[in-house]
Amino acid sequence: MERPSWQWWLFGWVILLACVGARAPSAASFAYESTGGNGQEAVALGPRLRFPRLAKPPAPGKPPPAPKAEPPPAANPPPAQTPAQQKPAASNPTARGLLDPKLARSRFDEGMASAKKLFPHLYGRAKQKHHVHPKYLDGPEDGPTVDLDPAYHQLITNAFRGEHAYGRAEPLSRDAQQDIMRRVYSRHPLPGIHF
Amino acid sequence: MREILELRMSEEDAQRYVPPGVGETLPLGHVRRLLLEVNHPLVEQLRAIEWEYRAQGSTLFSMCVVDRHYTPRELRAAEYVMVGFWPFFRPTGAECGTLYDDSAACPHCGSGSRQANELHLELRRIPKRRELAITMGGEYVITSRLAEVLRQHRITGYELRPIVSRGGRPAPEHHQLVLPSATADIVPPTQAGQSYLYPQPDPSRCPDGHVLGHQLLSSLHVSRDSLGELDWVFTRQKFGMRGNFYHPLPRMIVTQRLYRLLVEQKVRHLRGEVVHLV
Repeated sequence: MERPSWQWWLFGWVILLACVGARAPSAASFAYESTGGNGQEAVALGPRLRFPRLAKPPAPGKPPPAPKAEPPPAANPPPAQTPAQQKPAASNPTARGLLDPKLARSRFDEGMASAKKLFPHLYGRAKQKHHVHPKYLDGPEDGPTVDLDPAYHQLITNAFRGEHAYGRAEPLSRDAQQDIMRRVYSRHPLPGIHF
Repeated sequence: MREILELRMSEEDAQRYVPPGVGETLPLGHVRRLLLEVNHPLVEQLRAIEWEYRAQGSTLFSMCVVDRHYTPRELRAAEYVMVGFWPFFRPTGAECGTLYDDSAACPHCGSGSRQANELHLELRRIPKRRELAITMGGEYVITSRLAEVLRQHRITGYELRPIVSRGGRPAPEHHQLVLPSATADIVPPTQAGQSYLYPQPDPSRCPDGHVLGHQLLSSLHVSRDSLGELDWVFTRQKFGMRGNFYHPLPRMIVTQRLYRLLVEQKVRHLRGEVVHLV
């Protein structure tokens, strides 16, 4: 049997390198699920290996998609509206009950980082049960609960009390309770509920 | 008298609708708190925006409460004073084993349920420094010391009942304060409604007249004939709504004699408002 020539060896080596180059993880492909910027949370979550996507070549006869361009600035910007002229809008997407799990995770990590700074004496202690519908907003005693780090629990409690003062004689209507919960949880999501 | 409207809204919305420099941003940075006199021009602008939000089934404010502030001279000159002892504390009696009989309660508003046993409370959660306190469920707690002072001054219109722990252990230092008389009749021009900026429609209002509305929005006007001779009396009509812990609650009215006694005794969190007699 004839041995392969050096051209065949070279061709095989090039093919192998091409395959390895496409599949091997580069430093950039180790991405963390967390975007909190806090090293501890990133380590706790662990790295996730992501393979780069191969771009599909455009189909014959179709032009490649053009990159999105910024809209040109208006020649005459509209005058600032008075408050009465402005139309009410939901303050953020979560006001409609939509919260992207990745965004929720990111906000949770940010919240944990700030809770650690604000309440270091609580951080890392035994987890506390948080009523998803807080009892001070007339949530049921046997309502669903989430285990939270005490520091994050305190952060959420303070956020609720900022929205509506604790201990007022006037109870809130059901709609107002729901609205406050949407506002608070859009900023401070709950693990196991929102992501 | 000054009527101050307290509004809380998201900082994002505040930047859209409220001129810079008005109000304060609360510590976490997400909520703007506004304290405005009710005749401030911004109040009417915010009312118009709130109506637009309500038309879309939402609300701009997470808190919208009006408080009336009287000078000590005004309060001393009043014949009757409406008093309150908020903020409340928790857990409520119902959470600790107090039973309520709802068989006679109004099917619309839930008012009229009767306490069926002794008031059970978490004894260590009763505020230590307060002579008079109220739970979230509307149960009043008074210290034995203040109860003794009331007895010495021959105050009328109240009863004392025992308080026990969850397990039934008596609490000698505290009593439940009960006012058997709820005769004070609230009359116009008293206003009640869902909130100051959006008073109607008010789903809390009872068609049978037990609950006037979700909140008291104006100063209280009461029929003189309905007050009687007692020092301590509840209003016949209530405010609020029935929830898991909340009940519709009447307002507490005291005579000037009793009000001065409470001030003398330095009862903490005592809020007084002049009652207008009609």
